[in-house]
This record gives sequence, structure tokens and C-alpha cells, in this order.
Amino acid sequence: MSILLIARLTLKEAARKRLLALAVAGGALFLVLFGVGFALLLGQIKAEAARAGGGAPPFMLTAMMMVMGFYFLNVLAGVSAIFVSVNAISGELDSGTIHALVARPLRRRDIILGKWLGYALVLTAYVVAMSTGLMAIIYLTSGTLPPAPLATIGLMVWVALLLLTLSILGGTFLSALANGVGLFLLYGLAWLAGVIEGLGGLVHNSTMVHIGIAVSLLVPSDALWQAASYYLQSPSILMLASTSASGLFPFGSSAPPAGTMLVYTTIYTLAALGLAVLVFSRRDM
Amino acid sequence: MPIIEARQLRKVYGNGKVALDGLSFEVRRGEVFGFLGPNGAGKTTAVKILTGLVAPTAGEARVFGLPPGDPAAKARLGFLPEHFRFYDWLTGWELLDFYGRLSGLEAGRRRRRIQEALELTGLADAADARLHAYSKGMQQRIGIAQALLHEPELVLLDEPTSALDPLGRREVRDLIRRLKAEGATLFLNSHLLSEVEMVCDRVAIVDHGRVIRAGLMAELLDGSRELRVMVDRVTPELRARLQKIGSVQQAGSTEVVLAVADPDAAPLAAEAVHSLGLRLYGLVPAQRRLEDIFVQAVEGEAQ
Repeated sequence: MSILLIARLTLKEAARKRLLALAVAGGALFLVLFGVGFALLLGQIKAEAARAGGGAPPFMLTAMMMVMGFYFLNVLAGVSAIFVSVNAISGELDSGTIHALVARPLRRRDIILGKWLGYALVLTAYVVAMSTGLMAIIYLTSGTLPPAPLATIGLMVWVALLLLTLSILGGTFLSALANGVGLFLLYGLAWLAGVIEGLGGLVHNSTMVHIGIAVSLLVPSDALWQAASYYLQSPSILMLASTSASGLFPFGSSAPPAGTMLVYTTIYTLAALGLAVLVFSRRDM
Repeated sequence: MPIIEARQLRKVYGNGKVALDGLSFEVRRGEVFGFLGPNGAGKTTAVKILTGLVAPTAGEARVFGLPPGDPAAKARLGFLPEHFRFYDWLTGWELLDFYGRLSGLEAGRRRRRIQEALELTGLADAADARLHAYSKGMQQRIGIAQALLHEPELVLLDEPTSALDPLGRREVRDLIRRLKAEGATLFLNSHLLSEVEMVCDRVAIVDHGRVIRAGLMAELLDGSRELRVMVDRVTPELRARLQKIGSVQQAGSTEVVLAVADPDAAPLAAEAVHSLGLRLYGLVPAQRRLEDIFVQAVEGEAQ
């Protein structure tokens, strides 16, 4: 019960502090920009193809744009997840609002889980709405739909929730500033690891691949994105990608996600949330 | 069974600072208990332990016989934190509604209690304003309102009048008396001794994380009277004579303040002045105040 009350308060705070309004406005701007750019590019390519006499459908271009669009959306969602929640716990600790809250008849874990739930709802709604909007724009301009939209959206929501969980965990023992810096560092590191792993695959250097995987274990956000990107590509695109050396690198991966990665990331997310509860339950306020 | 029991509480913070060093006390049902001490004596740390915000390094505390922080214990207490910071993007009403829900008040009772708490603290007109528009004093009042909201058996107030003007302080005193009359137990953390003196039944004076003096207010104040002797000049002979009547607290060139226990101290002092051929301008007996006892206790501890 306390969890739901705190989640509700978190939603109210997001609305009151104009977080939601900003997110919607920023998101709409992103979609419009992407739609206009994509439509212009597609129009130009089609016109040039018609002039040259060839009528090959630019489906590789569409696939590329789709993966790129979602790639940027993924970054936007990840950054949003960090920004909205970086001060969630540390803000209450620093300001002292936590004192009156903890003295109410609740368990401390309810505070962590309630905040997590509140922000998770906001971020899930955001990622789902933005992904749906992006798919709609791509469909309207090119007539293409991703083959497994739910898998993509699900994995992208997971990226946001993973970063949210790490942000809540960091907030239980770090200042908002240190937490934010740390999260961006980890997020960037995960991205870099994905690039190293991808490059390692291209040049057949197993050391690079291992380094990439090791860092991905530390923060599996990029690994989740790679999985999400796989589900954006139709079998024919994947076939085509497999004939070229690089596929859609560095924006997406043409390799199906490993089941062990998904299991690991599930355990990782739950463990991070559990650790946040543990640290928060034991600390002085 | 006491409402609050603290036994040999010790708290050492991460930075090595010793906040509590063997603190023990009890608070009994229905009393107004004053917890006094200079800044940094460990008062707030003690309250934080009782409300489950801070875990003691050693020792044990019980609230309603339960470990502090147990939701069953917290359900029966109300707490005004020292810095009374709340969600300033909520209105007064919304804040109380949120806390009321957390305390499990059902809708009808919640609405009634929010209204009552706002009226008790003089905030009825500000119910629909957001807290960031509240003055410091109003924020402290809403803090008191949330502490009383669920009609707790035990109310812990950490410096409840620090942001209030003299009128507001008087209102809080009246509120404390009213809560006591209704059967509540109050734990009052304060360094405003005159306030404590006016409302508390029992006090504990803390310094360096330990209780250095404790007892019923009546006992502490009893038997410790003062006598102010005003003369044309204070001679060494006079001082020596007065020393036999009581202990000299202050001595100036025309005035001596004695701490006395003997009810005949005043006539004895008058005789002493006359017999030495000095002129007596005033002889004022006064009840010693809590402040004197406090200063004596803390200074005695320091020596």
C-alpha cells in the first residue's frame, strides 16, 4: 500500500515539476525532426533512382534509418531515465524531506520500491509512446514496419529501467551530482564496450570481443540495445547485412541476442534493486 | 512500561564524531518530557534513533516496547523533524493527505483530521497554497500539523518553535498542554529553557551525548532559591558573612546573589548587613530558574 502511495506521489511530482510536459514536448520535437529528415531523404533517393532508370526499392536505406532512429531514441530514453531519477533518493536525503517520510509507519524498502515504480511507469509510458510514434512515422513515409515491434519496445523499456535502477541505487549512497556523473560514465563505458566488441568481431580479434563483453557485464545497457536493434531488422535485411562485413554497425547488431545475456540482465536488474533496498535500509538519515 | 526507554545509547558517526556516549533515560505515559542540552549535545541524534532514522552504534532503545523503526511503533508516534522540510510542490492539504494515507487513516477520518490539524496550527487559510509559498513559520506549523494528524499517543517535537515568533511560541505551548490534557505523551527537544520550564513535567539535561542531570521539574527547581542582596558597597566582611547563609553565585560592588536553601536566609542577610553598618537597598528572593540549573549542570560537567 505504501509503495503505491509513494509511486503516486512520484508521478505527481513528475507532473508538478513539468517533467512530463518537457518530455512530451522534447519527444514531439524529436519525432517531427526525424520524420521530416527521413521523408526528405527518402524522396531524394527515390527521385534519383527514378532518374537513373532503376526502380530498386530503397529498403536497405529504410532499415538503416529505422535502426538509427531507434538508436537515437534509445539514447534519449537512457539520458531521460538518468536525469529524472538521479535526484530521487539523494534529493530527499539532502533536503531532509526523508525524515518525516521515514517516521511514517512504512518500511524503508517501500520508499525505494515506490519511487522505482513511479519512475518506471513514467519511463515506460515515455518509451512506448515515443517508439510507437517513431514506428508510425516510418510506416507513413516508407510503408515499412519492424518485424518484431513488441520485442524492440520491450528491450528499449528495459534499457531505461536498467538505468533507472542504477540511478536509484547510486542515490542511496551518492550525492545527486556524483550519482549523475557516475551513471553517465557507466553509460558511456557500456556504449564504448559495445563498439569495441563490434569492431573486434569485424576484425576477428577475440581479445577486443572479450573486453567488450566484460564491460557489458558491468553495465549491460548497450547489450540490451544491441538486442533491441536485432528485432528491428527483417530476415531479408539480416541476410543482406550478413553478406556485408559490418552490417548496421555501429548502430545496431545483426546477431540475435543470447539467452544468457537476457537472463544475466534480468538478474542484474533485480540485484541492483535489491542492493538499493539493502543500502537504503541500513544507512543513517 | 515506559513509552520510551533508552539504555546506554552510543552513536559514533562515520566521520568518527561521537554523538551519544552512554545515553539513558525513560519517558512515561502521559508526561511532557523535556530533552535539553547545548547545541551538539546529541539531542537530535537521540530523536533520530527513536524514530528509526539512525541506528545506534551500541545500546538499546525501545518505543512502546518495540525496536524503533518498527512500523507498529511508528504508527503510534508523530514526529516533527528539526529542519521541518517537506515537499514544497504540494499544497498544505495535499501534504497532510499524503501523510494521512501513509498512516492508514480512512477517507472520512482523514478529511476531518486534516481540517482539525490545519485549524489547530492556524493554517486553515493556507490549506490550498503550495508549501513553497509558505513562510518558515508556516512550514514549521505544517510540520506540527503532520505530527499530530493521526492522533498519535507519542509526539516527538525537535525544536518545535525555532522558526516561530513569540505569539506562535505561545500557541505551541498551549497546543502541548492541550495534547497532554488529551492524554498524549510528549517528547520535547529544545534549547529554549523558558519554554521547557513552562510546559515540561520532567527534564533530562544532556551534554556530550550523556544525561548529566534529570528529574521532575518540581524537584529540580525545589530547594534552589536565590537571594539578591543590594547594598551601598560590598565589603570582604559582608561576603564572608553572607557565605555562611548561602553560596555566593555572583558578587559585584553593590550586589551579591546567593543560592540559598534556608527559609530564614532573608532576615539573616538583613541582620548581617546591619551589623556591619552597611545600608540595605534591596533584598529580593527569587525562585531559581531552569536556566540556572542548566548552566550549572553544563558548566559543572565541563570542569
